[in-house]
Amino acid sequence: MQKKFEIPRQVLVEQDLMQPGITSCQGCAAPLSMKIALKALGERTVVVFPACCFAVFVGGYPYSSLKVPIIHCPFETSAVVASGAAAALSVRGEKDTVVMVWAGDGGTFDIGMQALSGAAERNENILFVCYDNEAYMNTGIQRSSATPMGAWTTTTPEGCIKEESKKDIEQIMLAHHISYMATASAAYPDDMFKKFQKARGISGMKFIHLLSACPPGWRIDPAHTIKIMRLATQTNVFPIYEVCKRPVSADTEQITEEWQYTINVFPEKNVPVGSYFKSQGRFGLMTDEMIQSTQKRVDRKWQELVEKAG
Amino acid sequence: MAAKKRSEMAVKHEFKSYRDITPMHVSLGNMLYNKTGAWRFIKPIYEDKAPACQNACPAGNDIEGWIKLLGRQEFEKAYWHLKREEPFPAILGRVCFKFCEGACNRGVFDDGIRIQELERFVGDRFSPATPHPELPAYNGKRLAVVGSGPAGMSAAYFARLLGFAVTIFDRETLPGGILRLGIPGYRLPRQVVAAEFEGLSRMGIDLKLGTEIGKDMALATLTETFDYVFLATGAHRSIPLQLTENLSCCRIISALFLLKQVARGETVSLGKEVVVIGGGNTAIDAARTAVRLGCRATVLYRRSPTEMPAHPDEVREAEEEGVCFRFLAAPEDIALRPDETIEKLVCCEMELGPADDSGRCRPLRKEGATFDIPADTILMAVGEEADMGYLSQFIASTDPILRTHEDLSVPFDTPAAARVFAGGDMTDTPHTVVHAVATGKKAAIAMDCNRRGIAFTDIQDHIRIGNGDALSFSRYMNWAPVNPVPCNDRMVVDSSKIVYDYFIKSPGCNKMVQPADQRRFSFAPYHDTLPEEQALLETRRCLHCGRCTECDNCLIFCPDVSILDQTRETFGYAIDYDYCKGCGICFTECPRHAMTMVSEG
Repeated sequence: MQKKFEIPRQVLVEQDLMQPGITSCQGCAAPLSMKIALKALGERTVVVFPACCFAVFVGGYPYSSLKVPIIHCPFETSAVVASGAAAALSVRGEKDTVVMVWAGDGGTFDIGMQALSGAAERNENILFVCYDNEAYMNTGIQRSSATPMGAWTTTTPEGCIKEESKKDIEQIMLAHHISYMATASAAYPDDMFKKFQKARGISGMKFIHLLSACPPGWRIDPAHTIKIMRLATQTNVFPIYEVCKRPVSADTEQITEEWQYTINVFPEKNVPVGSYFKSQGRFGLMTDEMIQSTQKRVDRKWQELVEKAG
Repeated sequence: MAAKKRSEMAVKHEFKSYRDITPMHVSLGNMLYNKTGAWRFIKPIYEDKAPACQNACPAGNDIEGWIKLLGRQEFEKAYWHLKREEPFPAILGRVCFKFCEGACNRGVFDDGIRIQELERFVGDRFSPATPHPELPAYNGKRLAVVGSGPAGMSAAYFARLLGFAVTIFDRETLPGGILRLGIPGYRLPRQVVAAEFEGLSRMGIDLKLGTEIGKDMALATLTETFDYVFLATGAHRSIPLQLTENLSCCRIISALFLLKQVARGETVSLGKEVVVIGGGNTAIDAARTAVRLGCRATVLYRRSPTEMPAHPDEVREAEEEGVCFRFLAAPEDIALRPDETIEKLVCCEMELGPADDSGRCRPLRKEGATFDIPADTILMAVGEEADMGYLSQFIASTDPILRTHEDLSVPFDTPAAARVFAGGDMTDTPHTVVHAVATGKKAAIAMDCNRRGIAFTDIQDHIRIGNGDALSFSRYMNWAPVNPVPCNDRMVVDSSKIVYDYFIKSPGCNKMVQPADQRRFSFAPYHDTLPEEQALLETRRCLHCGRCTECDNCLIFCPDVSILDQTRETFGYAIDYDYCKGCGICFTECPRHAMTMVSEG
């Protein structure tokens, strides 16, 4: 029998806060993620876009394909603009409106970092979503600090690949003691839907890290977007988990117990990471030795995660 | 399609001058004007296809269709849907070689669907004598069917559904042919066969028993009185053993003859040790019958177990009942005592050589490696061939197979105006019940084509299922499939096209089989029909390969919000081609390959 989707059917069929006409590339996972996110968050949502693919394809002035208010802002200011919007809503007493930042990996890992760090430290009541396509895809596939080791980009010298590891954004965000942190992928829409619903009910800083396949940048067939994102989770390259703040009682001083890790999607069988890397053109220059060492690193990280989740 | 096209809801804004621009830039319209469908060069369509099980079935049984109806608990609909392609579910649900189960795409995932058990469940739920809902008026043509075995029954059934007035002739006093005489009653109870004939007679099909063509009635008489004749007299002559010298002894008998004797209720005495020579289903049936008669049975087969033509399930059940198997051994000589009883069977060990015409390894004799097997009776089951003595005036060749034309019409001139067709074991087709049923269906369609004055070969490709020989009677009749969407029967969905990530593993149901130590002493049926609860659970395991189940996967995964739900009004989904960019995600993520990408322009 088939796995059943837990998204309520009425929400699935009727509530479309995103309209077609968007100019995203064929097979882009970002609008799909937005579709599911808005189904979970509902109409009372304000979206803040820094410079990113989505800011471009959601509609040029004076058009918008979202049926919710959106604010376009400069690249590095998304978290602070959202903080301001949240403050304004709070002053007006609109407590049920959620402010969501929808930023790419550049606007999160690199350029947006200082505003994000500030907002996280202040524990602003915003939901910061990073749809991570692992490079500056909008401007032509330039390397970002989210680009994984072994990937080709247009700003890695010819015949070379990125040799540095991807920045561990989850640990950075957790180091800010935020209220909720999760990873999600549109390949698991149920899980993503539940996480956005959960984030909506939590006050304080929420951070959701989405993997978002980019067919031109990843050098993949547009039809294989979901398949490859599913493979990322099945190979443990992109584990899907969430971290909630555990209520800490006053008498215990143990910081390590602050977080409650939950792994939401366990891989069904042991798929080697090679099948994920070999399915994408951007990893075409990776040697088998590099894949082997990546396998070890991925295994170690997964083991750590399993231990944390208990 | 949606009531109002979304592109008509586009809000476009044009600034007349710079003064119109708002002091703070706010959006004044939506992007619906931007028909991204223009980017597309391939487009997804909903198109049902033939599942692997249906493709594997020689009769083209629409298994997915009736399993879907069964899952909805529409039992009567499921029954009649099943009978559209395969008229005898109670029989084939018991004795079919189940090519479908071997092809089931679930087999590579966890455990194939127990299709035969489900077919039997459906077949046993209704009496075949229930009035047929799709019975047409007579078309004025008369058909004589010679032989009431599975091929004859099938031809009579389908021909009646095409409007022919059918009369079945059989030399035996009870109808059913091999179903009654060859297949033992513990596998196929006699009342099941009788009930099917009750059903056929309720459809208006006449039965003339005890009439042997060529003896009691000349073939010419038939061809004069009927417009069409269908010959399905089966293969009843056992092929003799190839021994060093020809021996005759009352204890060297044909396995089929033994089965017939037991079926007729005659007393047989086999002694203690019985050796069955051969590896087909007749050999296994004979060995199991011998066990039930109190003998020790050994099956001697010259190849290895993998080449055995008998169904592995039956070999396993025979082993459970105590039948011994001796592989890679062939008989060489039979030592007789002076009183002409058998002393022992001298066998020779074999080894496998290169593949022969049938694709199986040719067994080769190992020189000098002989051994003896004690035997009181030897049963020959190395194959059966057709006895076509009654056709000797028309065909000169001694070929034991009647080689028909593509439309199953016979290769000789018939004595009168009637067109003569042939099917079943006497023609060039594998000797299984379901193949016989398939030839009956094919001949009925060919006869109707002949009546309508159209060439069968023209129509054949339009009604063919998958890449095999199976024909769809529903397509010929233009009967609607279960899903009201276009169905491309020629495209087969095999396991490489199924997205298994969307399915949950679950084991198949257990068969209701008596333990071997109980059933081995009795000729009573040992295998029960599934209870309703179990059968319904089993239907939920079906992957519905190639057939839309409205699972919403495409709806969820479309990044361009271009799949519109219409499941509440009609069936399935509509694609908004104004905006569909043709990325193909819906096609790739369809768990069961019920979508197709087609090129445009």
